[in-house]
Amino acid sequence: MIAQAEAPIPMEQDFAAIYQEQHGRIFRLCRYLLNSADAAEDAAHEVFLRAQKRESTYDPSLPISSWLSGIATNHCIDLLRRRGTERRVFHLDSAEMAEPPSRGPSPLTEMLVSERGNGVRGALSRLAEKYRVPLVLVYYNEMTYDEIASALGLNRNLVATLIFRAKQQLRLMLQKEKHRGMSH
Amino acid sequence: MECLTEFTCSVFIDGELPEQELREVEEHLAACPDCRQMAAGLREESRLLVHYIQEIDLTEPAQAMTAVAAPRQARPADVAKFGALLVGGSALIKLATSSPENFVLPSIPVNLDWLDPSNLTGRLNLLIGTIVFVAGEGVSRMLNAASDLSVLAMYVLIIAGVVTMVRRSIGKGAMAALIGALGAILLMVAGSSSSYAMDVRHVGEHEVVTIPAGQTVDDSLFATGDAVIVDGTINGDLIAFARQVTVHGTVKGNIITGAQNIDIDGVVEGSIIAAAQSIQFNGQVARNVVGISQSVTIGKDANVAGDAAAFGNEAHINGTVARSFYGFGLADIAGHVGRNVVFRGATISVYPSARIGGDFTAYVPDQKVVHVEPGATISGKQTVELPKPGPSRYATLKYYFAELLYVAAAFVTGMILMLVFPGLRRVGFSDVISVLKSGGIGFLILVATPIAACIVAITLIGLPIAIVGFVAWMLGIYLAKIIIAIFVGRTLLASQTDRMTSMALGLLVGLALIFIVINLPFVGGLMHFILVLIGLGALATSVFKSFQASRGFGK
Repeated sequence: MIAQAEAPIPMEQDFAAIYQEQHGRIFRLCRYLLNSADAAEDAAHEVFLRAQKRESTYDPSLPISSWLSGIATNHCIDLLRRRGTERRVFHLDSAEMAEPPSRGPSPLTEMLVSERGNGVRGALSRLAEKYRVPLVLVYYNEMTYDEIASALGLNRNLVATLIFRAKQQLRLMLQKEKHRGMSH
Repeated sequence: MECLTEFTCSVFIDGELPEQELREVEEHLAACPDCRQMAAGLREESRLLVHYIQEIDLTEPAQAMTAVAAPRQARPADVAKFGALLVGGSALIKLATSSPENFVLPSIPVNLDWLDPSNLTGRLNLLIGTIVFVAGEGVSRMLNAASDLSVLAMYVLIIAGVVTMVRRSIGKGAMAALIGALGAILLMVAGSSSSYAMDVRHVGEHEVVTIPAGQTVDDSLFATGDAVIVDGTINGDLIAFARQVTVHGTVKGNIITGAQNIDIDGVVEGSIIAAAQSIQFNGQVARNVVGISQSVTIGKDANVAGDAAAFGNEAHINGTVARSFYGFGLADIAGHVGRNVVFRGATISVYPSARIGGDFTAYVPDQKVVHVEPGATISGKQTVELPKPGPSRYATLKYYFAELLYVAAAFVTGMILMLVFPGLRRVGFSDVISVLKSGGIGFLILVATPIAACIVAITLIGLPIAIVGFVAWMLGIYLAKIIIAIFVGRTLLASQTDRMTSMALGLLVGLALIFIVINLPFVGGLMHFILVLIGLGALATSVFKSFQASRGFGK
C-alpha cells in the first residue's frame, strides 16, 4: 500500500512523477465507487487533469494522496449523481433510518480469512450503490463518518447505519456463496 | 449499562462514537467478556475488509496498463477520436434531418454509393466507378503500399501467434532465436512469392501497357495503367485494371478485368469476368462471360461457347451465346441463345431476329414490360413470372417465426458474447458525445473495411487477409445490434451485476426493444442503420480496449 505519510511534494515537481505514484490508487478508488473499470479509467484521467488545474487548492501540509482522493471522491459522487440514479442511491426510506437490528449474521472473521481477496471484491461490486459507496469511502479512503456525510450530503447517523448495513449485506453474500461452494 | 448492540459496537470499532458514549462503551467492555468478544470479532473483520479492499488486484489487466501510462496530454488517439466525432456527428445530423422517403445514405461519398443496399444499379455502377478510380489514380502506389502492409501484417500475425503460444513455456533466448528463424523463413517465402509465375506491369496513371501484335507473354499478365491494350498473345490469364482495356489478340487463360471501358474482340480460351461502365464484346470465348456493368453488349460477331450473365443496367445480345443467358436489369435479345434465357429485372425485349433454343423465363413486375416481337423464335416454354402480391409481411406467420428465430439466435449469440468477453457486458455510453463518437467510428469501419479489403484483395498476396477482414466486417455488422441490446437492457434494468439471470433478462429486453424500433414504419430502416453504426463503433472500441489492456498486461 502506498504510505499515507509521504512528505508533502512541492507541486513544481514533475507532475508525471506524482501521476506515476498515485494513479493506480486513484484508479482503484474510482473503480470501487463507479463499479466499472472503463468509467474508472476516464474518471481517474479527469481527476489528474483537475488536480493539475487546481494546484492552488493544494495544502502542502497534507499528504498529496488525500488531496487527490478528495478530488476523486467528489468527482465520482458527481458522476454517480449524474447517472440519474441519485434518488435510488441516496434516498432512503424510513426503515433504513432506524437503527439496524443486531440479529444479522455474525462477523465473518474465519470466512474472510479463508476467502481470497477476489471474492470480497466481487461481493463488494455486487453491493447496492448506497451501501458500496460509504463502505469504500470508509475502508478504502479511510474517511471519517463526518467527512463521508458531508461528501454525500447525508447526516452522520445515516452514514453509520449505511456502513453497518453494508457490512451485513457483505456477510450475507459471502455466506451464501460459501454455501453454494460447499453444495457443489 | 446494558450489553452493546452490534451496531454500537461496529461504530465503536470504526472509532466514530461520540465522546460521552465512547466512555460508557469502554467501561462496559472492561466489565463484559461477551461484548469484548463481539468487539474483537468486529475489529478483525474490519481489519480484513480494509486489507482486501486496499489490496492491489493483480488479476486486473487494466492496472498493469494504467500503472505505466504517463499523464495524457493530447495523444494522437484523442485527435483521431475527435475526427471520428466530427464525422459521426455530421453524418448523424445529416441523417436525422433527411426525411425517410429520400433516405439514400446522404453522407456517403459518391464513390461509395454502392454501399446503399436499396439501389442495385447504383451499387453496381459505383462499385465499378470505385474500381476504375482505384485503377486509374495511383494504383501502383496503393498496390505497393497494400502489398507491403499485407506482408507485414502477415508477419506480425504469425509471429504474434507463435509468441503467444510459446512465451510461457520457453526462455527469452530461445524465443529470440525462434523469432529470428521464423523471420528468415518468412523473408524467403515472401521473396519467392513476389516472383510467382506472373508478369506484373504497373505504369503511371497516364501511360499505356501494350502487348503489341506478334509479342507473346508466357505467364499470366497483371497490368494496370491508363490503358491496357493487348494485340499479341498471352499464354496465361490476363488481369487488368485500367481506364480502358482492349483485347484484340489472344488470351489463352481467363480475363479478369475492371475498367471504365472494356473492348474485347480477340480470342479468349477461358472465361471473361469483367466489371466496367461499358463492356463491348465481339470476339470468341471458349467458356463463360460474366459482365457486371452499366451496359454489356455482346456484339453481332461475338460467339460465347458457354453461358453469359449480365448484371447491370442494360444488356444487348446481338451475337451468339451457345448455352444460356442470365440477365438482370434491362435486356434486349436480337441474337442467338442456344439454351435458356432467364431474366429478372425491369424490361426485356426479344427482337424478330432472335432465336432462343430453350425456355424463356422472365421475372418481372408487370406483364407489359416483356416484349416478344412476332418473328422471334422461342423453342421452349415461354413463362412470365409476376410477383405475387401476398399479404403484408407483417400478416404472415412465417415472418414472425423467422423474426423469432432471429431474436433467439441473437439472444444465444449475445449470451455467449457476454460470457466469453466479459468486457462487452460493460459497453456503455456515458453521454451523447460518446454515442456520437461510436457512431463515427462505426461509420468509418462500415465504409473503410470493404475498401481496404478490395485494395488488399487485388494484390493477390493479400487475398486471405481481405477475406478475413471482410468476414470480420460482416460479423461486426451482425453483432452491432446485439451490443446495443446488451447496453439498452442493462441501462433499462439499471443492473450492474454480472449474475446470469439479470444478464439474460437485460439482453432479452434490449433485443425486444430493438426489434420493435427497427420495425417501426418509415423510420425503422433509418433507426436500424444508426443502431448498426453505433453498435459497430462500440464493438470496435471495446475490442480495441481489450487489445490495449492485454498488451499493457504483457509488459
